[in-house]
Amino acid sequence: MKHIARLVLLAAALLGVKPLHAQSEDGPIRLRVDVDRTVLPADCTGRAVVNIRLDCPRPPESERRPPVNLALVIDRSGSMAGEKIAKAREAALEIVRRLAPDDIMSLIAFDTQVETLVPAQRVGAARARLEAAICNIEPGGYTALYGGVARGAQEVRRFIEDPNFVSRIILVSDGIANVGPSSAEDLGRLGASLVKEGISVTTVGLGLDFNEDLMTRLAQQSDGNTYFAQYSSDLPRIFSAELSDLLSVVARRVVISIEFPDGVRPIRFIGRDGTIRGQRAELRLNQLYGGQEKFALIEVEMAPARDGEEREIAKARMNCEDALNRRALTLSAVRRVQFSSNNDAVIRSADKKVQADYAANAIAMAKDEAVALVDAGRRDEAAAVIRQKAAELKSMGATYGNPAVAGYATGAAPEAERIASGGLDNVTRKAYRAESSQVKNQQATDPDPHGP
Amino acid sequence: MAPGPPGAGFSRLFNPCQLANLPAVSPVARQTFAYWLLLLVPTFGVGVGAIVLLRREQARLAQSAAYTNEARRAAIAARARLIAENAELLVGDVESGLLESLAAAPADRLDPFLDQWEKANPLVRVAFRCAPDGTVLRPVASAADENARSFLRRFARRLSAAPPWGRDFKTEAAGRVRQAERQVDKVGARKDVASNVAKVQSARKEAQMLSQLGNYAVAEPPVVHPAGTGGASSRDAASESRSMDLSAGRPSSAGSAANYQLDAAAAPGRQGWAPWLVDGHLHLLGWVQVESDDVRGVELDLVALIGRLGGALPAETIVGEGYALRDDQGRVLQQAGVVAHPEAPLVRVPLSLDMLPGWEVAAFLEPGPREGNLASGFMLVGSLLVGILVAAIVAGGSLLLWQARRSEADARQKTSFVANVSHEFKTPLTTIRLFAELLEEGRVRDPAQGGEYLRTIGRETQRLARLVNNVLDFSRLEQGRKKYAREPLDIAGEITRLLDTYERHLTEAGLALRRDFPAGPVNVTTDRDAVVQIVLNLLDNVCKYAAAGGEVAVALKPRTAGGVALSVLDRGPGVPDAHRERIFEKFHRVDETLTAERSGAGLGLSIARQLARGLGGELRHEPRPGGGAAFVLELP
Repeated sequence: MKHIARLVLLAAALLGVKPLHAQSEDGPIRLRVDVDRTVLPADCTGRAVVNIRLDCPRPPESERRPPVNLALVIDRSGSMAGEKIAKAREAALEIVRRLAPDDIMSLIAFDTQVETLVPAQRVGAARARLEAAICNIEPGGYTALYGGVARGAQEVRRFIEDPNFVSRIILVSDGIANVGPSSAEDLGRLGASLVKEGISVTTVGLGLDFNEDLMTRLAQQSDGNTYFAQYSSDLPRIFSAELSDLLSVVARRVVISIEFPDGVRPIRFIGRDGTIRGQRAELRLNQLYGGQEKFALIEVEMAPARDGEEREIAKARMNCEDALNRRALTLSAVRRVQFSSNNDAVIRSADKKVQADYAANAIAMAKDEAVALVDAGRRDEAAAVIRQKAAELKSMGATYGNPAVAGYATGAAPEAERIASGGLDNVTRKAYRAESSQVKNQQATDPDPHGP
Repeated sequence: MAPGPPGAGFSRLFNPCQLANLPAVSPVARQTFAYWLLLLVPTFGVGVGAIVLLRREQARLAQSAAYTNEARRAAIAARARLIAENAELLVGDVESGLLESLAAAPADRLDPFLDQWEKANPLVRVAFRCAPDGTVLRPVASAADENARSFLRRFARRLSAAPPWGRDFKTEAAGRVRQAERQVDKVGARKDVASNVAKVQSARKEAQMLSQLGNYAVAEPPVVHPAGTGGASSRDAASESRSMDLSAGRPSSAGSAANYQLDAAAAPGRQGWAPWLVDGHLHLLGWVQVESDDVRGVELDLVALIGRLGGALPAETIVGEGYALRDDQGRVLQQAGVVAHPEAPLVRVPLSLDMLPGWEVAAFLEPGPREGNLASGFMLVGSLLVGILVAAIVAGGSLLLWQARRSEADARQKTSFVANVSHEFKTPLTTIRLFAELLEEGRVRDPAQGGEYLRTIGRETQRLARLVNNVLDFSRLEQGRKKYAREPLDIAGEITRLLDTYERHLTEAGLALRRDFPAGPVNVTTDRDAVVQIVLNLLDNVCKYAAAGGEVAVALKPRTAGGVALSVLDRGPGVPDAHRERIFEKFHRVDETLTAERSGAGLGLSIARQLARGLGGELRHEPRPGGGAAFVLELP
């Protein structure tokens, strides 16, 4: 009791000295609204890119991290035999070792059928059982991927009542789902449904035979990470990176709503999937990780304004749950822009970071489109899409003197040629998908050293 | 009668001709037949009886297996029905819960409620609002998200053409749940079979809770435009944060409920669910019409629902059993247990038509490796055992019979041997006695003739001695007591001496002796007496059977492999092919009758071969080119 009283006093003292929810910049999470240019051309209808940026500094080491509620879903279909399953076992064992006794973990393996090897329970009480179950996973059968994830969700739900837990499913698979709903769209919908419950699914695609569309859709729709491990030796590193993310969650159930005043019409989200209803846009993230920055880019159309006029372009509000202090947290930010007939002033006002983020996401989207076109057998059009985007970015980089943007353009040009000459091989297609998803979600680490 | 080798006796036992010619054959054959009859009839009787019993037992087993199988199939069918009922209950719970939420939504703030609901409830794919004529009012056509666009693509036209609330719906979700509950009560006993009551109940509870409201919605205060931000603050981002303590437990639903003040007392109005098949995919649309207001509706997210329907399937299945939830296209959505042949389910239980048309629970039974084979396996093993028993009795009986016949034959041979030997002894003894009496009575005047008589007596005595030696040797060899005194020996000299002594005897028998010896001594290490005995027996044989040939040749040659080969060749009638090996058997004689022209005991060659083998060599017979026989003694 004494202990607890002392802790409470200490916490109160800390809060008194440095309130975490303060308006100031040194709060746990910072919300900013940026525009690609703070000065826009006057007297014309123009487009601008608004960037809603969430910056989460890494919490101090002393801070107690929120416990995680993790379901590890491992594919044990026949194709996983050999080194793949061995490495997956090794990586899974590492996860068990790194989790704290208060964390919850369940282990599910699936082939033709789904089997809950260890139901959700505290790691402290079940460490030996988890390790034994992991070591006994033997491959054989088909791939009931949907069933595996659904069962993982079922296990996570046992403790979902407790709002302290960070809920997560990690799916490791090397194959194409062939039992249960199996299309990328179906799995995407499952992801979208799970994220509503606060469950994110991280997907790890192993080898060269998995369905990358399905794996990225599932991860993206549920705000989980996605990884492409061409070699099973990458698995331990990927699991380690994923666990680092999982253990550094600082906020959960993040809802960002952006209000646009009259005269500013939101057109679309660039990269992320958000909803736009009239003058309001909304984006939901399941969690924010400490030490990472997340952002959402929205393209808007501006009504003409006179030279010298100043207007509000967007007002953002973020509601989330501070995972460290278990408090609701609301942040808001607003951004105003000026209009000028002076072209130099417009160019000078460019926010190079926003432009670079825009370029990265624009390329990622172009690549997604290119993959779809190549799939439809329209290779030349796919190359043209990337080429066009590269040219656009190149001219943008030149106009605004932004080397980062020009760099993305330069990187994309040869890829357009490669697609035009040889299409997309399996490895490249997978890399495109994973990379695109990672860029769009601002996934922190891409530990795949083999990726292009 | 001299017996043949064991094989010959045995083949005679099984000689069918012998059985066929029974009336004409000897009492021995008749006796044999009687033995066989006594052995075979009861044996086969036992065998047939056992097989009959086995067949009866097999039929009984097959029947009991069929009963078991039938009972198992019935249990599986019952379980599949139970799964279907549970799935329907679950869907019914979800449906009624969603409609309740819809009906309770505040009419004045319907759109924000639907927005929030759609984002927070995992089972809601799209929440929509329609005019009573079916025109979709929400989501609006300009909505940017893909989900809303695809909803409009699928349903905008369909809803305005034929709104489901325009027709009379037979059942309401709530009514269906009550109906399904009644059915489950009726089959309450079957619940024990499924043994996953708790699992289904928890899945139902969860579904009920979920469908009421979203379980994940951050407390969101009403949208307030902060007065200060619109003013002349700097162009830099202004950020503001507020925090409020979350209430303990579930902040989300409490927050949402507080925000939207659900109108729990609102009249339920008309409501219903409509399954729509669009582009080959099933969609479930629920709707509520409160008084004459706009119709509010929801599209259930089937993908999310399927995940939860897994809770209706048994957590554990018995080996060989499998259950699958399949959609209208026959695709497996969820499965438990093994589904090896999806095209051949044991039983198919369709789900309620007005709920999930075309969906079904299919149960599978993988025939176990033992099932069906059990009865025939039992028959096989049983028949095999009976067969082994019968074979063992017949084989054992035959062996005893054969052994008895052989002992009998041995006894006959020995009797015949004694008779032969007595006869052999008698001939020289008669000669000796005759000449001795003549000399005793002094009736021989001519001294030359007397000398001749004495020589004859001497010769016959020697013959008698050889005969006795042979019998003694035979006895020793038979008992394995024969000892050999091996010593270095000039075999050429020894044989030459023997022939010198024996030549006269040969000449008397009308045989001319030819010798073919190498010059100088030929040394071997062997038993002198045994070699002499072998050569004497061979020469005796020549005198007895090949005297008509008029010639006997004895040749000695060193062998390339070491040792020597001593051949005794004659020009006699030779040995018939059938007797080539058998002449070396004891008591065997080519001419078996006692009254044969030549006397003998059938021992000479047998003894000679046994001695030769005892010395580490061999004695064999070869036909001699140009007629006659050749006996070759090989010594190491």
